[in-house]
Amino acid sequence: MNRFEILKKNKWRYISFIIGFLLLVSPFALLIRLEFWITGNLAEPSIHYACLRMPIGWIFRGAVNYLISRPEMTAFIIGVLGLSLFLGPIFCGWLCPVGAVSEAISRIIPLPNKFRIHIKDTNITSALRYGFFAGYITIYILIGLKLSGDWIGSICCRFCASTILQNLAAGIFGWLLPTYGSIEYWGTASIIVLISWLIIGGIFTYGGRGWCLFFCPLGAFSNLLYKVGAKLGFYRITYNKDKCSHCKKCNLVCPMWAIKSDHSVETALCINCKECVNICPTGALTMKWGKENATK
Amino acid sequence: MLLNKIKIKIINKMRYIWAFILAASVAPITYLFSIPCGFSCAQCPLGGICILAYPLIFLGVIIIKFIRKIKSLISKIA
Repeated sequence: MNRFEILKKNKWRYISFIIGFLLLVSPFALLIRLEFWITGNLAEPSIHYACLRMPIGWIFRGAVNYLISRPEMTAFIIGVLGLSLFLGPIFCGWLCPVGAVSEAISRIIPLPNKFRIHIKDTNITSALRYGFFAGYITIYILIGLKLSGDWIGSICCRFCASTILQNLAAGIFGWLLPTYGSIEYWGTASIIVLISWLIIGGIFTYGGRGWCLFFCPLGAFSNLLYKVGAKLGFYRITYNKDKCSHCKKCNLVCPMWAIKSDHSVETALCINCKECVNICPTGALTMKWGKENATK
Repeated sequence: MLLNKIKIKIINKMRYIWAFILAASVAPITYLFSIPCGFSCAQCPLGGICILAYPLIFLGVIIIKFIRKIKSLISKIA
């Protein structure tokens, strides 16, 4: 199946990504502008006001005061995580501009797949993903227990792909809003993130979601909730073994390497993008609610 | 047969645990080692040259892959 057919079959997902970009990334940042308009905030809107990494840190370090003093960020993280529990990580699969850009770059650049990183064992991918997440939350638990300085948390901001995206967008679309300057903030950390996110995670990773798979704490947290939600019978992807023709098309289109060797879906990795559902010729993969036919 | 299956299962579990521990240790170490880079670029003796490290690593990977392909082609011909 060629790229244009995939594009056509998943057009709503790609339109949704553009909406996500317009909602969160400056100079547009429509969602943050709306929030500022309601609250009367006069600051320049940017993706930082919808930061989803910091509240995760606050949760694990037990910083309730931060969660109370920034209600907009707390509401946003509760919204995204709540959606993940009931509908799956649809923020990651349908809205997140960071994942969208790296996925788009991976699809646009015609690098042969043999040069791309692709771990086929979903258990290994999950172990690496949740191992990194465990290491990440350990940092915040240590801060919470006063065993580490606060500075180790603030260093995370230097390694933020959203910031890089914001700066790139400010450079590209800055002319739309003169208050937004050109590309700035370029240090070694930014270059490391840019390379890890777009070059290694985007171009050199099969599916272009290397950053989401291994480094995004929100993605890992959302998927954990999705796994719980799927077990409880909320909206999830299901696999019908009897209908499957083992054509492996789902394996080829999945950006998250979530298809297991028996062609069922690993909910700890799946972002509910529905690319596999749309490409499946026999309807073996479907989205379902309810307890029966739980995801294998 | 059964013993072999159990052995494979244990080996696989060990692989997953190893991958988990490896990744878990990477996160704090990454932050600790890159603190100087994060706070002050080009202040170290490398002067920002580390930016070249990533493309060089990937060039190495691509070269290794090419060598493997050429080797397999030669073995097929032979």
